[in-house]
Amino acid sequence: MLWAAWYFPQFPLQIAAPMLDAFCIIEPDQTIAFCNEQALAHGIKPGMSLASAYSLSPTLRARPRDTALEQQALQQLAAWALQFTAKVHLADPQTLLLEIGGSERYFGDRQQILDSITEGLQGLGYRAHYAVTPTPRASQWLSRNQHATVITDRIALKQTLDPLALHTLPLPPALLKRLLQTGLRTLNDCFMLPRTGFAQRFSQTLQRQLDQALGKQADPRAGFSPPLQFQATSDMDADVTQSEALLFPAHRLLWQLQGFLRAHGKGVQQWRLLLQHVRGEPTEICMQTVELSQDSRQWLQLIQTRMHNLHVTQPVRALSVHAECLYNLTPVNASLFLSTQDPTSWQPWFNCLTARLGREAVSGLQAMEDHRPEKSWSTQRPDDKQTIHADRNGNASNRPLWLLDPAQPLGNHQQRLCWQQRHLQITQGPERITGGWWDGQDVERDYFIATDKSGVLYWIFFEKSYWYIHGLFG
Amino acid sequence: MIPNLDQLLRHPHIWRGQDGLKKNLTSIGTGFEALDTLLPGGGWPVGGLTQILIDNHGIGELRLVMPALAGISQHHWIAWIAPPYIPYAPALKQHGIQLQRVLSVRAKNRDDCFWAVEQSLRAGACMAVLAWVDGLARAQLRRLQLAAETGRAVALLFSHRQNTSPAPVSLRLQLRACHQGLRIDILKRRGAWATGPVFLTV
Repeated sequence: MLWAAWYFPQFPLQIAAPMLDAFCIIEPDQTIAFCNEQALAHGIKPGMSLASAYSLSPTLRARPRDTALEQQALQQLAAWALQFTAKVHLADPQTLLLEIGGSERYFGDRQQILDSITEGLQGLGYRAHYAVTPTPRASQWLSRNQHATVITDRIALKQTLDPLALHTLPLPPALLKRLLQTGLRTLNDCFMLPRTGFAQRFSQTLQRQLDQALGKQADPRAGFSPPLQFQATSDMDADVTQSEALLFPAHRLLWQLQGFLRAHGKGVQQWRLLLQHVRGEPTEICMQTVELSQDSRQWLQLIQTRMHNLHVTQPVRALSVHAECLYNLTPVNASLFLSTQDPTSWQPWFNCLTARLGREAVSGLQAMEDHRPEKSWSTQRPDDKQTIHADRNGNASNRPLWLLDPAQPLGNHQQRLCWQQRHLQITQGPERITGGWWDGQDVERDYFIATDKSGVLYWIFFEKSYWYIHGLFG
Repeated sequence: MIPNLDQLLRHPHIWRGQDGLKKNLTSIGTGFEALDTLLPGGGWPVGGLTQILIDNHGIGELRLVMPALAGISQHHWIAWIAPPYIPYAPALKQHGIQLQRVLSVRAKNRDDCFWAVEQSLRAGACMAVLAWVDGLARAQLRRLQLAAETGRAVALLFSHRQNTSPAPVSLRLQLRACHQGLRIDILKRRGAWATGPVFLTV
């Protein structure tokens, strides 16, 4: 087991849209929690009160911290990270834990997987620090302090953990204060103390965490299991009126969608991009692809084409991507030679048709063994592998290619049969068709073939002193 | 001089009217020899639109295409898009169609219908698309033509006979019932003049 922890030091800032002006996130007590580089340049620092920050930079923009939103964003990141490993955990705020030991071979080597995660996170617009150690707790702690630490054996782990300052660890403030007052500064100071005394005097939990960090005690974690529909939102900090400006956040959201789908072996055919306005209903852009896809590049191209003739009438406040219908995407080996007639590729086509027209509108046909014409066929779910039933109707006489269901009554005009103002003349018949006594829908009909002036061939029948048309010969 | 001229004529950019019905066009035989000889490539064009103009349903327009469809359905899908009536399965079977490769698609409006035709042609999964759609704009027909080229499919569009304005289709036939059976006028074909009529017993 090899655990990589990814710590997002500026997470609340990063989930907001990139800003060019001084910007900060404030705690409920009106102190600054995070601020961007522009704010730092004005001399604003975390911990400062908002009032003093305003005195340094009157144009500073502040936004209250939204932990629920942070948690949601972290969950989306976790869902995205599932494409790299099946074991993803959400740790303390702003940290993701990934078990990468099992995926190393698949991705090449350790460095390659770490690089692809780093690149991916950068693409999503996040900057993160990572640490890789054999225990999740140690990774979690180290990632907050040192960037890109990779440790694989226990002895080196102890040596690296020893000088770690206690105040950098995510400890409860009261406990941290007590530890510091006792003169403990680093983890090594804690390791040196007698275990039982340490646990009694300070905290059982901390003692357990220390053991977990060194791998002396098990550290079970609740695995992250993502929701099976995708929804991600990106807030724009300023109102956007140009559709081109929406592409960057859209790309970011689609990239998340791609990671999410890869992690689940799913694909989507349809997803929605919602543009939230300050007031009024959001603008909905529904995108469909011909086949199931998990390719963000393809979507981005689609959305680019779409954006060209999209007139953003109202300023856009937020952008969200929703994908509800996820289908299993069975990976099909690409063919060596380009073959458009791959018989297995009908499913995407079928899925695409049903996605837009509805499942009832698209159907296959099958012949049933029944003498009554209206019961000798039925629709069915298309499947080219279906077994072909023994053909009992094969020797039956001529049947029309078009069937009217239900049969329509024929008119009688000047002693002649007529249908849609056309006079019919019987040319062949009769053929007696009876059946249905077994299910109460008994029929006893005499079928004839008729024609008219324009040469159309009709299939008509006579039953209980009325005439009906049942088909056209096509 | 003569060898040079031959060389020149073999240049792919030179087109001569006399090789109009050239045989290297991909097509699927209609099953009616008299018709095949008049069609470019000798059959229904693969990767092109065929427009079939009729007055009324039921004069034999389906029986005309059945032999070709029976062959196609052995290995490929056939889509019926917005058929005016129910394609009757036992009769299709009698004509040799493999029913497990038939897909029937209903569309609520013309837009959906057009979309379904285009998707089906482009998908490459289905080799023949039969569609009953009227009043398509020129640009839409052009799109369908391109889709058919992409998906290498046979596209059979059944339209009402009043649609006689020129359209970007590969082949345009007009069908009328007559006492021999079916009278076919070829109103447009690739690489040759309009011709006809052909009389077929279907």
